[in-house]
Amino acid sequence: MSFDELQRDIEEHIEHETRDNIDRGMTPEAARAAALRKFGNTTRIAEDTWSVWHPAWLDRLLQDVRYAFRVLSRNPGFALVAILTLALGIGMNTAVFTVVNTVLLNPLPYPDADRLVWLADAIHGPDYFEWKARSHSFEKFIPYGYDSAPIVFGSHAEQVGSIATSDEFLAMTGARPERGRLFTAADRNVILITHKLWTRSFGSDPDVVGKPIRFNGHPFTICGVLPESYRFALPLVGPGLDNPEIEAYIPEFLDPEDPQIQGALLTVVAKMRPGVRLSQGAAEIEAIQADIVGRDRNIIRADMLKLRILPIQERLVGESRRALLVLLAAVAFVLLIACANIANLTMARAASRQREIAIRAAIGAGRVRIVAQMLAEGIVLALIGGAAGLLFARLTLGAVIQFGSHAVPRLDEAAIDLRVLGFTFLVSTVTGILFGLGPAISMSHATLGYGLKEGGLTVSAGRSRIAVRRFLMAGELAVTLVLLVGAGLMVRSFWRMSAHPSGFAPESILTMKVGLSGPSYQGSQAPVAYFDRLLARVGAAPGVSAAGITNVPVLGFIQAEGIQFPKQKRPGTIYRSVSTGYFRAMGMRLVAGRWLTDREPSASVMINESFARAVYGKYDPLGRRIRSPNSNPGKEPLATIVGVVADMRYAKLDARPAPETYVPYRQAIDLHSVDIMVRTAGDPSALSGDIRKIIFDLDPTQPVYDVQTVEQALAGSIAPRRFNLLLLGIFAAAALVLAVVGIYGVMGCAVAQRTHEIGVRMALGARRSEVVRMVVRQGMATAAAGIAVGAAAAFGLTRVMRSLLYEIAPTDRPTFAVVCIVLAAAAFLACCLPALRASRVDPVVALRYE
Amino acid sequence: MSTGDVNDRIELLQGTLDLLILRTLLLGPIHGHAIAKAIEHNSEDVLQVEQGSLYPALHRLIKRGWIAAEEGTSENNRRAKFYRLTPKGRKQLAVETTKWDKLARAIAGILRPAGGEGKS
Repeated sequence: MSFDELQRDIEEHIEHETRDNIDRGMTPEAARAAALRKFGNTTRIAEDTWSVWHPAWLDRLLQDVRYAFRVLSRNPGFALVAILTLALGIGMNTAVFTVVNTVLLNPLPYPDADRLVWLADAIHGPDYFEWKARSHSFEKFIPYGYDSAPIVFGSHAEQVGSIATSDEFLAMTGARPERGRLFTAADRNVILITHKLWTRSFGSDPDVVGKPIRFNGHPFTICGVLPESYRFALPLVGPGLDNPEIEAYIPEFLDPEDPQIQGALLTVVAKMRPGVRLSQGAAEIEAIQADIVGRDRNIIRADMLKLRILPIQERLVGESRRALLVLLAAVAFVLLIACANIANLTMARAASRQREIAIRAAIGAGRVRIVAQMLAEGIVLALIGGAAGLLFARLTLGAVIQFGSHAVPRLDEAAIDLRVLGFTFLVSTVTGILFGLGPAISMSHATLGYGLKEGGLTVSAGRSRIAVRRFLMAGELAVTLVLLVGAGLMVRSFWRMSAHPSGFAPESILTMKVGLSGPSYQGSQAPVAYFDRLLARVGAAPGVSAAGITNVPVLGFIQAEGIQFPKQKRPGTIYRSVSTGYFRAMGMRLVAGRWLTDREPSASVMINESFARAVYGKYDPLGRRIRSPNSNPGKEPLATIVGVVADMRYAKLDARPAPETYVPYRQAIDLHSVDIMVRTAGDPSALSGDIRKIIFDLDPTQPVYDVQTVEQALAGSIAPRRFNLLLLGIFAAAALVLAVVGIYGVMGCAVAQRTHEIGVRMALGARRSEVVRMVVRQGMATAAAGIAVGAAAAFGLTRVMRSLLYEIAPTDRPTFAVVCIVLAAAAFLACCLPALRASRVDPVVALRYE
Repeated sequence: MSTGDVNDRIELLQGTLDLLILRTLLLGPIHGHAIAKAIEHNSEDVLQVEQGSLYPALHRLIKRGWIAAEEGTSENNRRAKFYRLTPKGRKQLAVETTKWDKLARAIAGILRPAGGEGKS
């Protein structure tokens, strides 16, 4: 019902009463007057009635909001700056929260995801069967294994990440086929492909179901296509298995009678029965495991077999949790700085609004009403900024996902949902209250009475406001310093990791993978022959200065002739089967002895410095013999160490070099999955096409994949760190810019308010340089206080980042020093400009000021 | 809520106006002015509604769903808003009447402890 309608009803009522009065014999005028008297104050009654439906506070709120819009539209410059600052601050917060929401808060995209449990990083085959038979708390134990293998059909061949698992896995993940069907326990040699693989490689062929293909060298039939929304979001353990893309699923059913199961290490997800608590399930598994270990005392259990029972999401998120929380805190700091800046702006404007406020107070606005008005202005501004920020987040999210998809699990699921919207709304409102409240309070006490009398600025009120603003400025600097130190520590870690030995030049080494599969490459002779041909052809290609191969490294314990290690402290080593070109392609340095050749007459190996240090200490390792693994356990030959190479970090930048053993590839245990390394004279990417062609011509059914430079591969190995560094760097840069703008604003305003005083000083003979020095000195005093507080805070706060750093202490002095200097310099510059302006004040003009 | 300004008029208790409106509407839908007149007439002019305070009360009752308003034409062919009791309001009237009777008896009991007759 509208207010007009209500007034019509009342008018109608009075009409009736008037007519009654006329009927009683009154004159029309007297009749109407009596009717009105009897009714009471029509406007007030209409309002009272209206307020039954529309509470008064709502009305006042709308009024405040309307007024706020008017005030803002009258100051478009201020509004624009404030909204942009807020859009940036709130937008970055929204983007980071969207990631946090997806990765940490949203449950896995599977039914009953809260009942899924991780038990250990690797589970011994027989243990799995025993748990399955004896446990009562768990509904299911579902093993799954990752494999990267070539998928071949027609003339098309490509490498695809796959999961081999049972039909129970599909049920647990709530899979529904988009086309065809899922596999069942009766199926063998069928393959399920994802929507993405179907569209990319099969051109969305509607008849793909039933199509025969070869996968990993064996014939398979495509039984179905999984929908686009289906995702693999479970942990995988192993080097290079950080969030790999999974595009195919094949059936695999473990048989307890299979002799291979005795040595198998499984990845297993367990599902608890409904109503069972994690602690109950854990206690049960621990008891069973204690029993198993008690029975077979002789089996050495590696670290990765240790029980590690936790909700599956916690295991999946792992280290990302801390990084994300640090980023969330950092981005909140940026918003805090943005808040301080806008509070500064608002207070600068308060001087010119003093009159308006005073008039409002004079015509009866109470202090509560004025404070409410200021808050409304703040909140309106913040909500507009928040809406713009939401847009900003929406636009940047795509870039964040693309950059971080290998750094953070489940990042590709990130989307703005209701919880994110709620978060943005809440953050905007709190932001608005924060920067609306400061000015509101500083304005409402002293100034209400003054404004009208003085007709402008009062010195004392101005002073107290400047004091508040200086405080804000120092606070901004302190927060910025914390962010800069955080970013600085990350940059230093990054440098540490990326420091390469001279001669390595990872940007000119091309690496690619070949995984030989299928019946024609069984045994050890066929692969060796294939790689002989490959090395000869690639090595002869124009532009190639060296080409070599290495197999996927194998881990093992060191067995050295004549040396007994204490049982618990047997050092391990990485065995690599390499061709001699590998050392040249990688630019390795010989420390002692000689290089391996491709045709060693007897069993020979090379080791690296770490190996020599760990096993032989200060003794000469050359000529000593160690066991070299082959496919014949117990009959490994003793191989002679012929040379020692310098340590090198070339696989994973943030891992320390480990003891390594290099075996000639003709003496290798297994030569199926191989990395090819090609050092090029010119631009490696220009050559990659030619080299792919050479390898394709050797055997078109064996695809080459992951072609990239070693530099790219290394960068990929620290993807999470790069992601954290990039985001933290952006936040720190934004904070620095905001802080500098803030200081400039405060100093500029302080100088403007002191124009009169400065004029007096200059009229009395102060020189320009003295004025500049005075202004800068006062600004820098505030800045120094901020920097000192910030340094102390950073000293305490950066320790939460310890696990994100590499070979750098969280209190690294050089980082702190550099950051303090940079910030002080920035603050100095921001003070200088207003100071110079102050010095150009013409005393005559200044004295007339006001 | 409403005050009479002549001595023999009685100030209405909080909520009493609502009860009187509901009771008046029991006879059928009528418009606002008629409600005021009916209350005054039926109480032999003892209860004087400051007619204006009728409107906030009417709207409160509409909001609670006890009465409903609809457009109509008054006896002298003018547009007017007619108010009628809803089924919910009818039930509420019964409840309120019982409550009022109880209150009246209680007050009467206090004022006339011997059980003498009291007029409510």
